[in-house]
Amino acid sequence: MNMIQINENKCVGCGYCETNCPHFAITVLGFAKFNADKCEMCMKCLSVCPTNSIRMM
Amino acid sequence: MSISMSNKLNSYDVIVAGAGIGGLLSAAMLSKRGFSVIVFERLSFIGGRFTSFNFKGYEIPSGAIHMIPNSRGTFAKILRDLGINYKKTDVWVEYMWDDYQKSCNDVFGIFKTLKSKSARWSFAKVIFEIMQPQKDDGISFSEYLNNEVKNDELYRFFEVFVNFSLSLSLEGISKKTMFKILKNVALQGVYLDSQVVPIGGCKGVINGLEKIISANNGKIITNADIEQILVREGKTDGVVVKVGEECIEMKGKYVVSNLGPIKTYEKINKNEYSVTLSKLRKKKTPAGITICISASKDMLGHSGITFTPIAERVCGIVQPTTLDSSLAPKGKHLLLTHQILKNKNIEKEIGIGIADLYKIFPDFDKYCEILCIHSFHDDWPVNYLTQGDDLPNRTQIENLFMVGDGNKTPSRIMTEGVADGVKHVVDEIYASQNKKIN
Repeated sequence: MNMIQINENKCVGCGYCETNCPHFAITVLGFAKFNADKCEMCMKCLSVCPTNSIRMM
Repeated sequence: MSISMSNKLNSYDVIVAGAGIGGLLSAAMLSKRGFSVIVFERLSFIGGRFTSFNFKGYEIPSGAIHMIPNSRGTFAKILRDLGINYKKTDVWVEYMWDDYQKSCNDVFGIFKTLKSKSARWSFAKVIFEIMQPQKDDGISFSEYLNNEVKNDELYRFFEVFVNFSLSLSLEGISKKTMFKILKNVALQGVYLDSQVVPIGGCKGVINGLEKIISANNGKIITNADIEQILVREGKTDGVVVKVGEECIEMKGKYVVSNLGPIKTYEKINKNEYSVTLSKLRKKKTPAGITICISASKDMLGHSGITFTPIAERVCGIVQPTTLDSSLAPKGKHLLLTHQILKNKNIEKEIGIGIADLYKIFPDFDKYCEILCIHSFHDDWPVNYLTQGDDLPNRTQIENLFMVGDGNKTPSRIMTEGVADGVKHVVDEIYASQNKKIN
């Protein structure tokens, strides 16, 4: 199950979540892709996303 | 910084909405002049698209590429006045053609970055024409070059410059706007000796501004979203800000909005501005892609901008670590490319950009590695408005000003346009305050 959900329609691919994720759980290529295995639920990605594209499940 | 203001003074001279470079510059300059200032930022960090994040030891920019155009411009002067340090690049720009590569330090040197004599002559013709009185014939700069100049090399020369500095295609910029920019560059050209890399990159500037604001008793509150800009009888007197679940009304004599023109008008929440808003929503915003690369050796050999007409999409590259090695791990360099987003298929556009890197650097595989790739468009674009569409810093609403990349000074490009706008706003607030006292 994905704990973090990324809204691909809203995500512009600015990469702030990727560069701020302490666990390298996100890769961005046009839009963010999330790796559930690496996620530690620290919520840093939510606080830096300028387009409100990241949601907690 | 936490906020607990229910029992405290909820009134300031200046409320700054948004902690982008425009908002923070305004806050620093105004607080230094004795105004009480508070800045609200909806995200958890400050600096917006003008800061960086440390990623694997590299200072990855959030937008701006650790470089400020023109060491003799407004932005560099503001940094000097505020005591924020920077270094000047050794070359202004370099042009990398298929089989010809030349750098220059002033407008006269630019002629030499063009390979053919015919292109140099055509360039002289354009320079002559921009100095003549202009009538607006409503054509794009592309149409002008195709119909009146007819030189492929010169077309490409301007194309990479406009792609890089404005994130627009030549079809996307009017002849009128481009002539204004070129005239401005040409008139300053003799003095344009370099670009500027702030020590610590964009974040070095943001850290410096934050220190100045707090030293002058200004406040910066993060995770605080502006809900509403309060307007009564054509005049603003504050904002409503949401912090956590709490909405707080803040009084301010002046409001400086760094939210971008669309969000600013959305927050005003008055029907009389709905036409302005719907017009703004129809405008296209410049979109672009930046590829962040680590390199194990100096790939450019200078610290200025390398324009890359050799490539298909990538229009320019910078290597800020030439001047500030702290932006990358020891012994490594950070390279940043820029390209415009030509169509909606971002992954395909990125693919073209990556293929370009192998053309620009034949030994790319040996020395370089892609760190991350970032795109900017729609709600988080390169600029909030296309160059030439910028709105004035002063709004129709008394005491409400706008700063940022939707409100650049006409003919001033990139962060230079933002900083120049900030200077106008600060001067105007200062003058109006003194008028009240007298």
